[in-house]
Amino acid sequence: MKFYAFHFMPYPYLEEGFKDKYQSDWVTYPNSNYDPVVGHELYSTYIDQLVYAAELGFDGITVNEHHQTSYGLMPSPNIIAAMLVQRTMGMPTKVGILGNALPLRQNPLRVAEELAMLDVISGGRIISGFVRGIGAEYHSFGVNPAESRDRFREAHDVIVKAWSEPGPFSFEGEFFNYRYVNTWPRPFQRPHPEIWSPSTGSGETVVWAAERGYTYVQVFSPIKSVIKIFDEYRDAAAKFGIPDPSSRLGWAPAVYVADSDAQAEDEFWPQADMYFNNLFPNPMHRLFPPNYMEEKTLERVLALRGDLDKSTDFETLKSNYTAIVGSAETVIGMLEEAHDMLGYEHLVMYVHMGGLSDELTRNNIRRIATDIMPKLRDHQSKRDAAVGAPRA
Amino acid sequence: MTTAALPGTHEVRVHGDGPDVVVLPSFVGPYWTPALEELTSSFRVHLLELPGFGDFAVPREARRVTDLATVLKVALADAGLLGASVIGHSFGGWLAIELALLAPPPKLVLVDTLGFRIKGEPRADIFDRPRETVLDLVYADRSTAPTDWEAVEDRRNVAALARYGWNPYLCDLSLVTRAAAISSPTLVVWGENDRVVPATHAQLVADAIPGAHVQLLPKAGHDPLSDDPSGFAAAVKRFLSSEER
Repeated sequence: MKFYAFHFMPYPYLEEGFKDKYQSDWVTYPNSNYDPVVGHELYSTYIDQLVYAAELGFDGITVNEHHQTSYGLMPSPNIIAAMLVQRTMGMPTKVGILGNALPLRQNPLRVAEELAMLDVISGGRIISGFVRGIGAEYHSFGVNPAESRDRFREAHDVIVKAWSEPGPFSFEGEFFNYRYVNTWPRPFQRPHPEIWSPSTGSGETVVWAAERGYTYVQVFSPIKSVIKIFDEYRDAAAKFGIPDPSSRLGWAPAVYVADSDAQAEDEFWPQADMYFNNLFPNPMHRLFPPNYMEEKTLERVLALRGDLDKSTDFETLKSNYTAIVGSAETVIGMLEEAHDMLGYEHLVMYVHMGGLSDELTRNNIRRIATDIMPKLRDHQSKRDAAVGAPRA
Repeated sequence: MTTAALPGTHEVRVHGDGPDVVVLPSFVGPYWTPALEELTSSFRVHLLELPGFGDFAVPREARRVTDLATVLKVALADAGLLGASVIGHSFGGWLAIELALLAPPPKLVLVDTLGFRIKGEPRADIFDRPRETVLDLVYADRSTAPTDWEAVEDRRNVAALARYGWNPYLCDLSLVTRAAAISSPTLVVWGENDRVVPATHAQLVADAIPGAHVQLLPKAGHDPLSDDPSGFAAAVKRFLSSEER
């Protein structure tokens, strides 16, 4: 099993009563609520926390892209990744961007270039996630959600071809047309940087990732849904002749370790409450703007994710394995159970939530690295013994 | 894009005696309103489903309103309705303008049409709001509105509108220039209390189309056919029946 620390880099100082005044902390939540002086401190604290995880032996440190929200302050994840690459020089740590929101970009060749630069500078340590961006971002960025999936696929094709085929060549698509694709630099990894597909569980994405052998990472979903989605990935991989599907699966829960279960709950829950019930929620028309998903896909995603309108409580988070919280013993036990049920290679952990203090975040990172990772690294999954088998 | 004729003309209802008149409805959906009933004494009224909406499927590559107009032109030609006058309401108005540029009808009526913008003039966001509040924007008075809401409560109607009107918002920036090529005599009808496209747009549209006249309806919002049926029917009858341009 491989371990990754993930950070949202939120701005956790929400306007009092913002829920009554605005539809959510996305799209139209006034940016007068952002204090750049506070933000200056936050960026540096957050980046240090991820570097700390790298120093303690996490296999990777990972970031993502969001726009016009206090939920996550990495509208350009590649900028943060560039800093993480430089701060982890000489370490084996991967730097994962989970991911670049391709349909929101005007020119995919620019994405190919930036990631190739990062891959070369880091000496081949980049994990390149590709995502569509969440629905709210289509309101923010003026990109027509009806074109989202087609733009995503075509931008992906441009980027992977630019990375892996000798230039110059021409590319003729519906959205992107180039007379000369000839990307300098070429990426360090051959044929291209490791590609991940983080998703909320759209069936089309699962199949798309499986067909290409990309690592599929399931974000925030009840474990029963994750079991089902992972099996769909395995079925699709078998159909396309992709070997070792479990080694291409990733799961992303929040993980928090403290001295005791009670202490972990006390420290974690107020911050998880802020995340799940304040920073994250969006009304339906922002999560799923018209045409963002096919009607059929939307129904499936809604069914998999459960009632999005309902506020989340700690018991629910724990019982569906969305949050793995407690003493080291409890956390190891739950992660082993989850690994037995799911069978995956990549564990992407949300190590910080809401307004969790720097001290508690670093404690959490340290405990995961020292108490959890050594115990779990070679855990063999009952679902698929291939993942966790001691490496030859 | 493909313009293969699609089966049928997607007529929701045909009624009345007299010259053919094609009605292209708003994005809310095709409803047979009292306003249309009043027109049937002088015209044979064909209420159509919009291409790209409901069951009127269009090729996936049809991403612009002019593509929809191409599909519609073929369907109307098949049905022998290309010589009919056209009433286009809201999104149907935008489509009617594109159709008039491909196949000029004898007369063109545009009702609270989409497709234009006055730069800097705020318009409400139909898409960044709960679906069930969209109709509060459309009707001056919800009590006069049709009671069958299935079509709009079904999110597919708003989705079809979003497909063509997401960005730039409910308009085509080239339309104001291209509209100069419309040769059909044109009446621009607008509800003064329109909260989707403010009535200030009426004159802009009329100025863009050679010889077009404006008729404002004080009692109406974005849907004069429901908000002021008799005012609407009287204005349209007068225009369609007159000899003058």
